[in-house]
Amino acid sequence: MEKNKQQLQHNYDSAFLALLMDEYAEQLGEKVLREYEQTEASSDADDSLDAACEEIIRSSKTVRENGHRIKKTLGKVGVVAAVIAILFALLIGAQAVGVDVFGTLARWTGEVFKFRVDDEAAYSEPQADRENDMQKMLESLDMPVELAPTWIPEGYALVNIKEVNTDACFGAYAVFKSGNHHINIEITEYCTATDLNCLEMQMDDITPEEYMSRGKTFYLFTNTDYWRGAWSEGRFVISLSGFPSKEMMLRVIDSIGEVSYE
Amino acid sequence: MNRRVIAALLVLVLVCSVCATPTLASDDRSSAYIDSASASIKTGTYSGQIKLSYAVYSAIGSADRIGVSKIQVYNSSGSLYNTILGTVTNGLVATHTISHSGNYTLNCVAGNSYYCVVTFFVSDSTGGDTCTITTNTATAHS
Repeated sequence: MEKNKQQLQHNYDSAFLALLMDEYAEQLGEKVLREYEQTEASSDADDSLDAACEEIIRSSKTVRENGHRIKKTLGKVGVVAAVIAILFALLIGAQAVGVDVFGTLARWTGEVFKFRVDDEAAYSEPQADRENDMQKMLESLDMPVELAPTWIPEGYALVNIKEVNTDACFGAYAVFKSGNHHINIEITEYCTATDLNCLEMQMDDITPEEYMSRGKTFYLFTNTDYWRGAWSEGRFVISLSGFPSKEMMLRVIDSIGEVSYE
Repeated sequence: MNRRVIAALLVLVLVCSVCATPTLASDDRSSAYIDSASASIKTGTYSGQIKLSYAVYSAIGSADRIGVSKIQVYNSSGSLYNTILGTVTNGLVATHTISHSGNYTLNCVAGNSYYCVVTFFVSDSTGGDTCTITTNTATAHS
């Protein structure tokens, strides 16, 4: 026991001495380097310091300075990360309670799905392109035809399409059927933000997922276990519903064109 | 800023955001019959008028009956001013179609503000469902 204690004391003394010597050597080296630099600057004297020694001292200083710099940088990064985390958390909190953050914001309550639009953002009509029954109806309503899907799941056929036209909104509502099952696609333009805010979509008590396709963020959720998706920008709304699988609905979403605003 | 303060703020905000969603989630209002619906009001054309615009979409394809079953008109103070029942005759109800939409003029007191609670329904031989939407507030034409 006593022997171990002595050995430990000896190791400690040796380590402490080595540390002191190292510190002393470093201070001495720095002093010599300063004197050398002063001498060289004032009299252009010949090199009196061993080049290797100079290099070692310089690299030792550089490592220490870099260490300080890294510590400072890490500190700043930590603060920035904390601020970003707080902002992100605030964003999630704000979105959950329906506070408008980006102008157009989706709000869900476990009962119905709603878009909330507070700003009457100006927009110009996108360029028209092509041609299925929904596109034809959108074209006749002077709405962007790119908003209509160009792919419908195999086996489904259009059984009904109806124009919606009120003082608050106008658009097309189409029903596609396969056997006894049908999927619904609604494309609407609302006249004002207030009108759009009064739209409610039925939904199960779930938190919608987000899905990005061609620059559009769709909200995905279910109604009586059938998948539905919803997108809104400006005063346009696309609603897809009745899909037996999410994958099928995503393929339809992916077939909706990118709307380029001028 | 002190790291502990930042950490405490972060925890507080995260807790608040996590708590917010369950607070809002209440009754499940899914519907096998109703896909979606909208209703909003504006100042009407003539004195005392308010115009209601509505749309309801069937989730069952062509519905036997679809439309507005009831419009309750409230003063902005919250007291019930009038109730209108929907019928095929007054245009608030349609038959054998996938959606129904339109405008309906409400006669109120000029200059007063109102909002409506609109009850929609969709039905077929297997049953039906209803949903209600509370509109924005608008002032009757003075």
